[in-house]
Formats: sequence, C-alpha cells, structure tokens
Amino acid sequence: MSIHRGILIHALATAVACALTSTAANAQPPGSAGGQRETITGTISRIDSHSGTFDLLTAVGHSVRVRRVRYPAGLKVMAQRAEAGMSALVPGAVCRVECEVATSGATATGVEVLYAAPARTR
Amino acid sequence: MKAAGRALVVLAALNALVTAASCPPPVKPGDPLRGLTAEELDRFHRGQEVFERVFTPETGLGPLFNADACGECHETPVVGGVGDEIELHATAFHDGFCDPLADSGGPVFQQKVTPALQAALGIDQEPVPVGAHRANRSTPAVFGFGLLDAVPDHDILLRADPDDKNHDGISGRPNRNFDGRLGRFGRKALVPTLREFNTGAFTIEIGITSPALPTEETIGGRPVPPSADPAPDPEITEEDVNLADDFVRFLAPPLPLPLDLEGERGKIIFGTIGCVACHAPSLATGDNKVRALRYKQVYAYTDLLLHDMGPERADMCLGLAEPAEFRTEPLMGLRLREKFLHDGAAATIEEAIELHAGEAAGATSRFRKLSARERAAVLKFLGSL
Repeated sequence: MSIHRGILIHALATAVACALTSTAANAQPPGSAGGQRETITGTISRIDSHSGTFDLLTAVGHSVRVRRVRYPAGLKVMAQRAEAGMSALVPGAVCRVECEVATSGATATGVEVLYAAPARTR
Repeated sequence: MKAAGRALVVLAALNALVTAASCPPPVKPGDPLRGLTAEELDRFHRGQEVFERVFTPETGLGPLFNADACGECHETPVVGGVGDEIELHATAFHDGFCDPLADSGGPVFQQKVTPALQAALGIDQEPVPVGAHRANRSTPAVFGFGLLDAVPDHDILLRADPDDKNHDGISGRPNRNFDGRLGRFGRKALVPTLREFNTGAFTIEIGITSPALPTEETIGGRPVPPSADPAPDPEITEEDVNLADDFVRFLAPPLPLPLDLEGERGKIIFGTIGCVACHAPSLATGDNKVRALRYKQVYAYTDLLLHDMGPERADMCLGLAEPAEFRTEPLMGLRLREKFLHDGAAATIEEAIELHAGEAAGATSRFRKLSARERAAVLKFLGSL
C-alpha cells in the first residue's frame, strides 16, 4: 500500500513539474510574438531612411550575401558600450544586429557597432 | 682483430639499412600531412574524391561557374596544386565604402554559364557592373593551408604594424571579414577560416549550393531563372563538404628541396635585403584537435597580413584592403608554380620580384643592387621552396 502511495505521489509530482516547465517554455518575452530571434553580424552596406531598412553584408568565403533588415524608429544602437544613435550606422560599420525574423523579413531589435566604418579618402 | 673490424663494418651497414628502411619517404606534393590518424587519412582520401568530382548541370553545376570541379583548377603538378585559369573579381568604391557588389553578383564574377542559362538569358558569363574595379586572380595551390588555418589569430596580429611604429617602411595590417573576424585566406585576406574558404568555393567556383549556402549566387543581382537550375538545393551534402575540407586541410606543404651552398647563401641574402619583413619564414600553429596540425612550425614565408604593393599592382578593394594592398603570398611550393603574383602577371620568380613595389620597394631596390651571383643565389633559394 505504501508503495502504491509512493508511486502516486511521484506521478503527481512529475505531472506538476511537466506543467510548470511547459508554461515556462511557452512564455515569450515582450515583443517576440510570432518571430524567431536571430543574431546577424555583418557590415552595413546601405541605409535607406525612407524605407527604414539597412543592408548587411555577410559571407561564407568569397560568397558574399546581402541581408535586408527593417529598423523601427528609436532603435537602440550601442557603440563602445554607450548609446550611439542611428548616425553610427553607416556603410562600412561592422554590426551585431539582434533581429526578429518572420516570413516578411528581419526586423532589428537592437544593434551593437563592433567596428566603426574605416576612414577612407575615396 | 681483422674479423672484429669486419663484423663492425657489417653491423654498421646493417644499422644503416634498418635506419633507412624505418625512415618514411620524403613528402611529395599532394601527399597528406605526416602523423594523421587512420581515420583522418581515410577522410583525406575520400575527400580527394569529392575534390576531384566533376559536376554537371544535372548534379548541380552552375548555372554560373568557373570550373566543373575543384580539381579542374587545382591540378598542377598534382591535385591541390595550381591551375592556369585566371578568374575575374570586381568591387567598387561608393563614397569611401568598399562595395563587394554582392547585390550585383560580386565580388567573384563567373566566366562560364550552363547551356540552360545561356538559353534563358543569352549570356556567356556573368556581367560586371559598369565602373567596377576589375581584378585578375590566379589559382593558388592549397598545399599546407590546414597549417595556415591552425595559426592562432594573436600570432598574426602580433606581427601587424599598421602605423609603421618601428619605422622600417613595412606596415602590415590585418584584414577583417564582414563580421569583424580576422581574415587570412584569399589574396586580400578576407576569409577567416579554411572551412569557409572551401565552402564558399563550391558556390562561387562551381555553382554548387551546400547546407551552409543553400541558395545560388545571383546573376548580376537577379535571381536564377528556375529553368536554368534543375538540381534541387542543396546540391552537395554536409558530409561531402566536410570531406573536401578535410582533404585540403590535411594536404602537406611541399617539402623544400635541399639547398647547396649557393642556395644557403641566397636564403641569407633573402633575409638581409628585407624580404622576410613580410615573407616571414615561419609561423607556429596553436592547439588543434588534429594532432598533425597541433603546435607545428609552418615554413610558409608569409605573415598573412596586408601590405601595399604599389600603384602598378593596385586593382580592387575588399573588406579593409585597399586596391594596392595584398596579403603576403605564401611562398611554400613556389617551385611548383607556373605563374607568379596574385594576378599571374609574372612569368618568372625574378619578374615577380621586379613587380614588387610600395612597401616592398626597398627590398626590391636592394635586390636590384645585388651582384649577378647574389641574385642567382636568391633565385636558387626561392626555386627550392
């Protein structure tokens, strides 16, 4: 009888633990509804303030690809651990971009400038 | 006494025979690294099959391509060596930004198309945007590249002197990939790892999509017409990419030929006239999961950094590299090449030296001032590599 009671308690505890885990897994941070999170690190090649997008260059070897990313107004842009603003996003800047990716494309949720655009005279 | 002497001679001869028999034969071009495990050796041989595999449109070739197999270009004197092909690369400056023309199909512009693409678009090669800076690129041998891959970043960065603080006129500087990592492969040192160099080459050279690059390159920025690309993506498996990568990674660097006195003298002169400021004789590998690549000296004669080669050689920018900047070309296996410099512009080693300018101007000038015998000695040394 005590063995049966032990099994029953164990089963109940397992069910409660499963339910709690499932609830935690389904909980999403604010703003992430519907999209997958992705971090893209690349070099900015173009900024279009009219469409609110920028292009990021990424590469595997010499195969270079362009990722277009939408950015919302007020996007947080960090550089050297300080807020830098959108003016830091210029062609040539190497950035780590946190995105939400949906079928309609990627939207930036935060940007960190890793290397400023090189000063060139051309 | 006489018998004892004879016995000693016989013993010595036997000893020499045993020693010779236990010595492995010298490494030949195309051989694997010494010290690979049986499993690594097996992957080397299976990887060579992938490296030599000839692709067709039905198995994924193109629709844009430069070659139908890795081994089509890397073929002389053996698989993994050089080729006589000259590729077309191009980039452009836009308001101070070096644009790799990725949205126009760059920076590698393929020079061949499949019949289906020719029929669909009526083109014979990928069009290069007007105003782009074009560059010719010869095929490098890939011997010893696994060792170059195993050199720690900080060892490369230690040699960098971008502001020429030591005032020797040499200011090697690192290139960075688009994601900020240190580059080392490619004539402009854009590519951080051998794995990426090899994976990217399947796509840009043969038009083979892979799990890492599951979509084709664009054609001048336009998507590939569906009728021109019948093979489903990815066109190669991850395992086959891994095998080809292991083949390249495990290729041994060519063993330099033994030097006579003249060659030894040339080696010393090569150092004293300043060539080694960029062509650093050796680099050391770091820790590595492959024992044959771990803590080895690689006599590559490169610092893997960018140097200004002068305006005559300038062609295109790439990443941080300015048009006149090129990564110091490794000299291991130099004797096996048929053309020299990144663009194949030099037919001989001496001509290649003469075409060095910019940061190399001092060393080139000192080479010119050498006596004929001294120059011959330097060339003998270089011809042994």
